[in-house]
Amino acid sequence: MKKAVAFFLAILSACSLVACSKSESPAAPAAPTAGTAQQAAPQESAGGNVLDENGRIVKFDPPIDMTWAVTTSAVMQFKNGDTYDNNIWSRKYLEDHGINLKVAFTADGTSGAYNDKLNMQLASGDLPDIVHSYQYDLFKNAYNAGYVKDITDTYAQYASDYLLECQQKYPGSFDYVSFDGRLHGISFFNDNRAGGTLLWIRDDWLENLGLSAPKTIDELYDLAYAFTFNDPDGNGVADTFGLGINKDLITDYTTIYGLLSGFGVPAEGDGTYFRGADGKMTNAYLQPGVADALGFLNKLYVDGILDPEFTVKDANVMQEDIASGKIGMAFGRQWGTWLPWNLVLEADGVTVHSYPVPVATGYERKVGIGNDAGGEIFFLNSKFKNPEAFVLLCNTFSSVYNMYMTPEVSSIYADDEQYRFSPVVLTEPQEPLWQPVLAEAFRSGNSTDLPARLLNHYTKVSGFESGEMRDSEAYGLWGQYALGASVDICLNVYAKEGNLVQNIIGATQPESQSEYRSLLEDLVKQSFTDVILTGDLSKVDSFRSSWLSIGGQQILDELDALYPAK
Amino acid sequence: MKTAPVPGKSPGRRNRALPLYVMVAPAVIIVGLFSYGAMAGIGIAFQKFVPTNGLFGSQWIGFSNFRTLFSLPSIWGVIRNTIVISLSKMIGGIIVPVIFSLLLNEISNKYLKRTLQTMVYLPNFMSWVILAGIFVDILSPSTGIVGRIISSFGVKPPFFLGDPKLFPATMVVTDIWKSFGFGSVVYLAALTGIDPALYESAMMDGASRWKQTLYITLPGIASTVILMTVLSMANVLNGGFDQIFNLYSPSVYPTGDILDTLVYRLGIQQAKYAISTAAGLFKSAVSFVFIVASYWLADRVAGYKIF
Repeated sequence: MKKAVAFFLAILSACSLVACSKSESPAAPAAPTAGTAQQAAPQESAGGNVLDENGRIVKFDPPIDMTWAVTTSAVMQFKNGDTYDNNIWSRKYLEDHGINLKVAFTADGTSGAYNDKLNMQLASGDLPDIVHSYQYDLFKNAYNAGYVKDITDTYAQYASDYLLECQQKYPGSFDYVSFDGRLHGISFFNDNRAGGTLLWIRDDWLENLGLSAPKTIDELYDLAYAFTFNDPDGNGVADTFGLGINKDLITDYTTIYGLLSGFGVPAEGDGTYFRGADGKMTNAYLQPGVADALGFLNKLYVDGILDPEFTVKDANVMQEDIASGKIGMAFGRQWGTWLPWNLVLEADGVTVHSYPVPVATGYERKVGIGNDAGGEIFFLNSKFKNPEAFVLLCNTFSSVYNMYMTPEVSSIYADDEQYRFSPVVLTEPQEPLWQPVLAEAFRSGNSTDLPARLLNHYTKVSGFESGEMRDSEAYGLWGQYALGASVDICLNVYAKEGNLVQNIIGATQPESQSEYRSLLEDLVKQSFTDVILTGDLSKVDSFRSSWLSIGGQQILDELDALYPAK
Repeated sequence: MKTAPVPGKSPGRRNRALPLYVMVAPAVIIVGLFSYGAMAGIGIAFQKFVPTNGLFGSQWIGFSNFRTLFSLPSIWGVIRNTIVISLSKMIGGIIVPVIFSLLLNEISNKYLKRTLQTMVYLPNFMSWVILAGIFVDILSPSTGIVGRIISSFGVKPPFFLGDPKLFPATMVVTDIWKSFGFGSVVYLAALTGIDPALYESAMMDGASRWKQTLYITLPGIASTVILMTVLSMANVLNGGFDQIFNLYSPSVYPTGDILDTLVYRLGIQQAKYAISTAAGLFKSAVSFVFIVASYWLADRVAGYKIF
């Protein structure tokens, strides 16, 4: 479990550094200069400010002062005698836009000191001009206290084409920083479309038995049966199981999410909360398909296709079972070739492929994903007079720091946490953004137009495909980004077919959820295990009523009020 | 307990006692800091505790956390499991080491005795994280050594860790296996303290080995047994978190989930410190009652005073 957590953190931190640019125009790599549109035809205006042909301010003259707060970190480096007040980003913003950045305070981000300090500043009504908030609550409190500037109109007027496009692409992240439909800031862009569950199967077992990946639940049963009883590894010993699931069923990897998805249950974590077809708030585990899915698992259990001892095996043990070749098929997320299936490559040189989860007759596939609400938030102090400046910073930052950033630009503006010197940092999620670009390059076999940051991925994936590279990074990326690989399935099968169900819980968590979450999770695990072992489907009904009565109903009611039907 | 000879009230007494005070000082400071100082944290149990607001900034809500705790649907089952498991461990944890040390005492070969003693003492030093991995392997019905031995007799091997009926017993037996070596060290020490002259005279009177054990050995170590029992009473609500947490699974929650593991899932994992503190305080209160009762019983039944 620790490994999985560490891995997840690694992925998250990678995501948070991801660049941001126009995905549809890969041929137009932005040079590390400011928003080109605005600078096209600078004119002198009466007030001294430099304007573009539409009368928008490009550069303030005389320069204006703008305060902000630095989140420091131990990794952050000062290059060539830079300081918090005078560094690569501050010089750029001053030069391009006449914005003179002043540091209001600095505080360490990892220890929580920054958040504490910001909360104090908020309490004393002394926020800097640009506020970088890691907590939604602080943003909301500041809004309620009247400290947050409405930037809707300025944004519409000043935002670069790229940012306007992001507004279309990531509506969830913009809703996140809007109140009553008015934009009050900007946040990291979020897109969870690649967060679904897939079915991972060992290639060699399929080959040995001459079988193909299942499309329906019946075919899944046949394949799992063959994996258990037809000696897929050819060692003459009955030492394999059809499908790997761990004792907790709904945590870590080797979960039953994928199987539930095949029965129309958008399972994920403590259950995706969403509005059902009838418009009522509901939870994934209350869906009618749960009974059939558990019945199916019971059949696997009774027939000896599931490991009879799965009830004591956690994800770590499953990892060992997978590595030692006892398990050839399991459900998991798009990063399966990074963990646990990398172990099979290491041990036996065997590769795996991911497939869309099979669907049961009479059901539609429903895949649960997290909410697209954004991450870190940047907002403008309502006392600040020039909201244009805020949007100009966003424009310029995203024109430099993006997918097309070359290693040289990256070494100047991003590496060693140099990006922290910018008061606004905007990032896009990597998988949904990168996959289409990479897929295009794989199809044409032409990598020359690829953004600099994706060249490595292209080389690794094609290197793995041709057999030249066998290292774990090449394998991991290949499993994600190759044509037909996991991210492709998430974006081009699940998302296109409308299988995705997004958790409704975004910025604000209902209080009752934190109260009852672990209780409900316990109940799900316990009841589901019970049904899988006994096959008594009537227990599903009693599970539903206890789920509602021990706090679930309260969460649903609270959500109903928090996220009213549109 | 025998008291140490009281130092005479000579003028030099203070000087002579000074090094002793210095030596005991670190222990007193640690107890003061971490046992008494930390008691202020009990307040959290009566608060709607928000870590960023701290102990003094959080709202006081009386017994609400306790009400939440005791209105959990599984709480009474969990308390029952805790008591069943911990009482069985306590009883087994007294009987087994006593018998073992009596038997070991009868071995005359010094080297065999030492070897055995060391061997049974070893598991005590292993953490449950490691032992859990080992037990999951050896108790597996299909691949574990225990399962294979049982199935070689043609009997279907039981699923020790997955069967709710067997899980508590498995916990008790494995815990006793781990700790009885340590327990027996204390009793072996007590055994060496018995005056050999008693045995010699008993032999002259024609007492058999069994009679000697019954009338000399057992009364000789009775006070130690009582002391250990009284001390273990404090653990009546300690089912052994690290053991159970590493070995249990949702399928054995009905009989295997104890107070500590419930609180861990509910409180620590969700960062709800107030509920965890309430549960901890409840455990301490119960333990306190049990300790007082056992002191009184020890005095009443065995005429034995600790303080």
